[in-house]
Amino acid sequence: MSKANSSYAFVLNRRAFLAAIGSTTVLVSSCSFANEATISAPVADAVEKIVQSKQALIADATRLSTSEPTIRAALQVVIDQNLVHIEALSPYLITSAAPLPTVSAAQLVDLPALATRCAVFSTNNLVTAISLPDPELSRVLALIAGSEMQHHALLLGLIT
Amino acid sequence: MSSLVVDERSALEDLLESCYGAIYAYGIVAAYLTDPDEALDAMASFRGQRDQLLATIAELGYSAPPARAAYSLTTEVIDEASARVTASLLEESIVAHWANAIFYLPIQVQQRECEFLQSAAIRSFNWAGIAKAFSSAQ
Repeated sequence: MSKANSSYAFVLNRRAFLAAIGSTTVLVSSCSFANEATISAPVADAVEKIVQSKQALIADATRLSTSEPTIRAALQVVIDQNLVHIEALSPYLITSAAPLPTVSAAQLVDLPALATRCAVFSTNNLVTAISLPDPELSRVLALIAGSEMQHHALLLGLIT
Repeated sequence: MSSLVVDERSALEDLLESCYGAIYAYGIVAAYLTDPDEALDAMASFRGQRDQLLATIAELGYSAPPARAAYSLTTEVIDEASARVTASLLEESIVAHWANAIFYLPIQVQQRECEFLQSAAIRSFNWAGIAKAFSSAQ
C-alpha cells in the first residue's frame, strides 16, 4: 500500500516537473517584465488572490480524482495546467503565495461545481486583465482565462 | 496576423486581420470536413466579429485595413484530420491575438472581445479535444 502511494506521489511530482519545464518560455518572458521593485501592491494583491483560488481548485480537483478514478486523467490535466498558471503568475507576487488553508475531507467538490468554477475563474481573470495597468500581465491573465475555458469544456464533457 | 500591437488602433487592426484570416481558413477547413456545419458556424462567428470590429474602427475614425486575396495556413489541409488540427491551431492563435490586444482596446468593446476570446478557446478545444495551459500565435 505504501509502495503504491509513493509511486503515485512520484507521478504527481514528475508531472509537476514536466509542467514546469514546459512553461519555461512563459516564465522567462514573464521574468523580464516583472520584479519585486516594479510590482505595485494592488497588482500583487490581485495576483495573490488568483493564485490562492487556483491552489484551492487544485486541492479540490486532487481530492475528486482520488474519489473518482475514472476521471483522474482529465482532472490531472486541469491540475497540471493550473500549476503552470501559478508558475507564470509567480513573478507578479511580492512574496510567495500564502499556503493553502487546511481543508477537511467533508468539503468534497463535485464535478459540475468544479467545471463551473473553471468558467468563473476565466471570466474573473479577464475582468482583472482589463483592469490592471500592466499589458504583459493582462496578456498572461487573458491566456490563462482561455485555458480555464478549455478546462470548463473538458470537465463539462465528463458530466453524464 | 502578426502586426505589432502597441495601442488602440494597432490592436483593433490586428483583431480585424485575424478575423479576415480565420474566415479564409474556415472556408478551406469546411471543404475537407464530412460535416462542415461546425466550421461554417465558426466562420459565421468570425464574419459577425469582423463586422463589429469594422463598425468600431469606423466609429473611432480610423481606416480599416482591407482583406487580402488569400492567407497562408500554418498547416497543410489534406483530409478531415488535418482540417480539424488546422481549425484547432487557428482558434489557439485567435486566443493568443485577443489576449495580446484586450489591454489596448477601447473600454466599450473590451467585454465583447473577452467573450470572443472565451468562445475561441472553447472552439479550439472542441476541434482537437486538447486543453492547453497557454495558447500561442501561429
